[in-house]
Order: sequence, then C-alpha cells, then structure tokens
Amino acid sequence: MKKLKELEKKLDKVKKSKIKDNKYHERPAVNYSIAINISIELITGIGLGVFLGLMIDNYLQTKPLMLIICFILGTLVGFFNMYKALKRYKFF
Amino acid sequence: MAANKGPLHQFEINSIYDIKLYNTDISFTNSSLSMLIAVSLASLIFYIGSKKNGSTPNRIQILVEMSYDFIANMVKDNVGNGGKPYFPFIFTLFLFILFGNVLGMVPYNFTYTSHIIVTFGLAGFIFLGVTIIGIIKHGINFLKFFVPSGVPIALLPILIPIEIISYLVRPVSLSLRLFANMMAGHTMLKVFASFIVLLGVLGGWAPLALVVVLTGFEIMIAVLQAYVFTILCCLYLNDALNLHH
Repeated sequence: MKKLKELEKKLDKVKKSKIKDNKYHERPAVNYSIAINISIELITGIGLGVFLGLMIDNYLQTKPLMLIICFILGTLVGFFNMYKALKRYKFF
Repeated sequence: MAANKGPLHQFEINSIYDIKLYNTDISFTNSSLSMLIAVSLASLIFYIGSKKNGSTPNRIQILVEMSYDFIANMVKDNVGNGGKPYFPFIFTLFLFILFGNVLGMVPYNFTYTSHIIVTFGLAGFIFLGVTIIGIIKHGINFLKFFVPSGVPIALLPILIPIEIISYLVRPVSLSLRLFANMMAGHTMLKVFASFIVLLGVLGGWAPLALVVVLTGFEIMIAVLQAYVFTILCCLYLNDALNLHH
C-alpha cells in the first residue's frame, strides 16, 4: 500500500508539472509579435484621440479644448484596450 | 549590389505597366502583380480541389475542405446562424490575407499586406460594412450599442465618448496590427540577413541560424495574423448582428 501511495504522489507531481508546462506554452512563442500587438492597442487609442480632437477643434474653432479632452479620452481607451489585450495573452 | 540597399528597399513599389486615367495614376505595380498571383493561385487550388467529388479525396481536396470547415466553424461559433450569408466574404478575406502573407515569404515576391493602405482598405471597408449592416438590422436601436448597460447615469457622459472612440479605433488597430506584424518581421529578416554578409564566412553562421529560426516564426506569424484578422472581423460582425453589450 505504501508503495502505491508513493506512486500516486509521484504521478500527481508529474501531472502538476505538465499542467505548468502547458500554461507556459499557451502564449505563442513569437514574443515580438505580442509586443507589437500590445503597443498598437495603446498607440491607436491615443493617436485616434488626438486626431479626433484636432479635427473637432478645426471644425468648432475651440483651439486647445477638444484636443485636451479627446487626448485624455483616447488615452483611457488605449489603456483599456491594452488591458484587454494583456488579458487575452494571459498576462493577468 | 543588393547589400547596399537598405532593409526597407523590399517595400518599394515599382510600376510594371504605366496606366493613367485622366490625372490619376492607376499603374499596374509589383503590388498588383503579387495580388494577382495570390488570387489566381487561390482560385486555381480551389478549382482543382472542388472539381471532382471523389469518395476518396486527394490531398488538394482535403486541403480545400479543411480550410472551408475551419472558416465555417469560426463563423458558426463567433457569429451564430445569422452569420451564414456573410460566410463567402469572410472566407475570401481569409484566403486573400493568408495567401498574401505566406506568398510574401517566397523570396523576390512582394508582400502586399506590409503596406498600410492595403490593410486599411480592407479594415475600413469591413468597418463601414459592419456599421451599415448594424444600422439596417436594428435601425435607431443600433445607438444603444454605445451605451453600456448597468452603469449609473452620472458616469454616462464619460463612458459614451469612450465607447464611441473605442468603436472608431477598431479599423485603425485592425489594419495597423496586420501591417506592423508583416513589416516588422520582414525588416528584421532583412537586417539579420545583412549581418550574414557583413560577418562573412567565419562569423556569419550565428545570424544564419537566427534567420532560419526567424523564417519559421515569420511563417507562423503569417498564418496567425490572417487568423486574427478574420476572427476579429467575425467578432465585429457579431457585435453588429446580435447587439448585446
């Protein structure tokens, strides 16, 4: 019986280590692609915010106001999208 | 000769046959040529694969049926039964991007997906189409998409602009993702390949090994990015058709 229990313990250990290995491999091996994808989420948010702010300013003649508001909103969107992307890659 | 051209030289567009329509330049370029090659190759493979319906399928038929099943299941899982009319479009999109990415790995062939105007053209039309489908399907109710449910009213003035910006950001990030991945990969390959020439016979083996590994990664990224582009297109379509938040 003792031997059987020891064997079970060993089996559990092996199974746990295998699960860990699998979790590690859930991220794709191409790390620079992940870096590009995550940074794009941030950059597009801020960039589109600034672009929209400048366009609205141009249209409404409210020079710096909408730029500041849209920049802040765009930054929020960028960070939120980056958080979602990080979650997709299981960093959180 | 080839060594003193920079790593970005491969993305240059050259006109093969000059065509001018009034004042607009619509020349047949190397980009158009590689698009033509990709489209005709895809059509040829699918024509051969679906020509005779043998009870024992040959290799090409299995390839064709597997890729069909892959996209059909993707549409069914992500969009539901309402997505069936859009299956041909999504399948064509997937094949166009996949063939562009993978044929771009063939030496001397041009990678058309490494140009932002191509990817932004695709993503912009998808964005417009999905928005129009949503408006036709739901009418004025489509605007509810921008109002998150279960949020106190005091927060809505902040959250609605955020939702609108994060909706408008979709085509930009969708196109930039594909473009940046393809461009970065190809530039990096070229840079490491130039190290081989610089280090010569003695030291060039290390970057050569790296280039071999990176080529494998590049092919993987090519397939992965085509998949990512297609599945995001499916998810956006799902948002427009089923409208739950």
